[in-house]
Amino acid sequence: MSTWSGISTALSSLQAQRVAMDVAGQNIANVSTPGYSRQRVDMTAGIGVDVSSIQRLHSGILGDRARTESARMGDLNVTSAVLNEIEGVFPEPSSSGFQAKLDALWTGFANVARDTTNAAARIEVIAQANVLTGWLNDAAQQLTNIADNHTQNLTNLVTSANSYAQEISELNIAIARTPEGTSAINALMDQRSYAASQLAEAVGGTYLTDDNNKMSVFLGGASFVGPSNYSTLEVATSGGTTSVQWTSNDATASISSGNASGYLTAINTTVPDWAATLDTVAAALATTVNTAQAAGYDSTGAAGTALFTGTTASTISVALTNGLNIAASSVAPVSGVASLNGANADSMAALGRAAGGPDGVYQNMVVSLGFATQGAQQTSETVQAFMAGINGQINSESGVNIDEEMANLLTYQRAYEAAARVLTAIDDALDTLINRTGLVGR
Amino acid sequence: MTSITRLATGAQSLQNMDSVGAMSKRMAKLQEQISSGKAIQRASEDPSATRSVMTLRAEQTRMSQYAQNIDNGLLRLNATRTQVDSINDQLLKAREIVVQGQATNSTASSRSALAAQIDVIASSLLVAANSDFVGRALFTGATSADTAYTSLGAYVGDTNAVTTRVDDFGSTVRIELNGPEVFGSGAGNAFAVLTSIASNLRSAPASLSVDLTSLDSVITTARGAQSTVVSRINQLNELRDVTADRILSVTGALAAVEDTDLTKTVMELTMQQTSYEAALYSTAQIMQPSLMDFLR
Repeated sequence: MSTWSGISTALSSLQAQRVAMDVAGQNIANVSTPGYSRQRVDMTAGIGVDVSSIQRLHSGILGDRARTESARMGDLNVTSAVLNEIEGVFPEPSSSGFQAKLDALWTGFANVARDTTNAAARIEVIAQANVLTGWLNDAAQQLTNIADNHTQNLTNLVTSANSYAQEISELNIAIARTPEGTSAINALMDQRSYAASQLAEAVGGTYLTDDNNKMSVFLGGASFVGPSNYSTLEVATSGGTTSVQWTSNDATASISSGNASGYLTAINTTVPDWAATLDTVAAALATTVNTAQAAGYDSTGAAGTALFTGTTASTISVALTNGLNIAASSVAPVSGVASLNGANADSMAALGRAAGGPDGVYQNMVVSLGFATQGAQQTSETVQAFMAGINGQINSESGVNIDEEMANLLTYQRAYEAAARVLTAIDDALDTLINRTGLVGR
Repeated sequence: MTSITRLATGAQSLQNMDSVGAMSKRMAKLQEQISSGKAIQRASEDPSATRSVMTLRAEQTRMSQYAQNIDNGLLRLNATRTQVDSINDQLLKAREIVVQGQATNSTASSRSALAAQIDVIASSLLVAANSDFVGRALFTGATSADTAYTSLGAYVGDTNAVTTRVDDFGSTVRIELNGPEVFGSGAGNAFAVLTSIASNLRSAPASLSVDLTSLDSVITTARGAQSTVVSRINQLNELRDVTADRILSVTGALAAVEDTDLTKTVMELTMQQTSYEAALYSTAQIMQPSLMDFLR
């Protein structure tokens, strides 16, 4: 055994403990960094001690599951938020919603029926009809605005997805150039899995890491990020359908999860569907009232004409301006003298209960929208709870615990002190050997 | 959820924040229910109850329409009744005059005076026949003509009914009587009979017995009108009670569905507050200490 080997043993320990303390410091520094995986120093015994690698404690399987679930959650969250917004357009039950406005129209007809000579009651009906069409026009516009907003959101989302793809691709290259088992490569890999989780939440996709530690991303079989390159996406609208397509060849990208999927469903399906349902409300209002008008005679004795024109929510408007034209009478004029009969106005006042009338159609719409919103919220909450579970597992594997780091720090510090002590002891021994040996009797 | 064996410091505080946040969200919801007084704010909170609220509100509106219809009908029928009562009185007076004219002791001059009284009754009946209620003639049927009878006693109204709706099933009640229903129709109507009486009193007292028969039939018609109008008023009065009851029960049902159960909600809120404070306290206790507090 060499005289000096003890010194180098102590030295290796001093160095190893320093590295270990650095790593503990790094962990503590990143206690609240999103996406950070805690690191651990692996030491092996040789002559003295060696730092064989700095390990990143990260489970690839958990990461995959988290990405899949966050893609699903991204989709459901957007769907639920969109339904919430649509529901906000129809504030029911309330004393100022569309139902209350319909009730006011029917009351208006009842007032006319009670006294068909009451000009004020007739004007009131026209005014109330205008309130209804104004509300329908406004609701249709709000639905259009919701779709427009989400098209803008989708565009922004695709832009950030492109930059995440670029980031993953660049990190692939940087990781290939960095030696394994070092703090540097761990930091790069953390950054890459963080970018991947963000990308998954945005557009979903399949994530594969190959033997050379390069991450590839596929969207339905098409490569988004390859081992050495990446593609870009863009938003396209044609024929009223919005889609996400590849910039390179204008082929439609397959997006089945993530926020983007939620936005696409909202823009192409959810909002147009509810707008169409709202149109059926407008059509029911126009048809039932116009049919009833046609069955009666106005206060001049002329046959009643349509009160509403247009049968969609965005185009419906009031055709009559003069309250005298409300066809209150069900009796034709007798020898040129108009009848004051109010039976037709009475029938119109009862349209609120009519089968296929606007009230029933609107109520069905509000109720099914309510169920849809409730369902989406519940699904979204379920997936969020599931996601919280996965995040808990990931944190349990990769998260930093300060107590643990402090204990480690304590261990490494004491080990450092002890190694220094060993060095001092060897120094003392050598001092004895070199300076104090052979001086007997001097 | 799989059990977590190792707890990361960051995750621990995130979890605490999540549950404390969820609690304060629930509290905000309860507070909203209390301050607005409404248990349902959005359709998605309870879609079925939302439908009930909407249908009940519509029903409430309709019921108050019917109540107004009934009140309006009652006012009109009461006005009609006043006129029909006075018409009956006058017709009876006319009958007495005819009987006086028929008496054996009557002279040409006394009959002429009686004829003048009949003329007064006839013109007074015409005024009653053309009377209106809030600007609308009472006995014209459904026509928009201003008067029911011409000065010659010819009916110019129509016989179309004016009705008012009183319930959801489309039941209606007539709220007017037209001229012929009160005064008789055609040649046998009250005005023709009175004209004939006046002329016969003056020139042909022997024909008065025929007139008396015609007048009796007019009086029968008018009496019929009187009992019709009274029975309709009774019907509407009953319907008014029924509708008022219905409005009460609809309002009660609406309150049961949409109003906040205050006792229950306040108790829930108090419980939430207690557990919220407990969670905040325990979070403060758990999150403060770390190993650092105990090392040197």
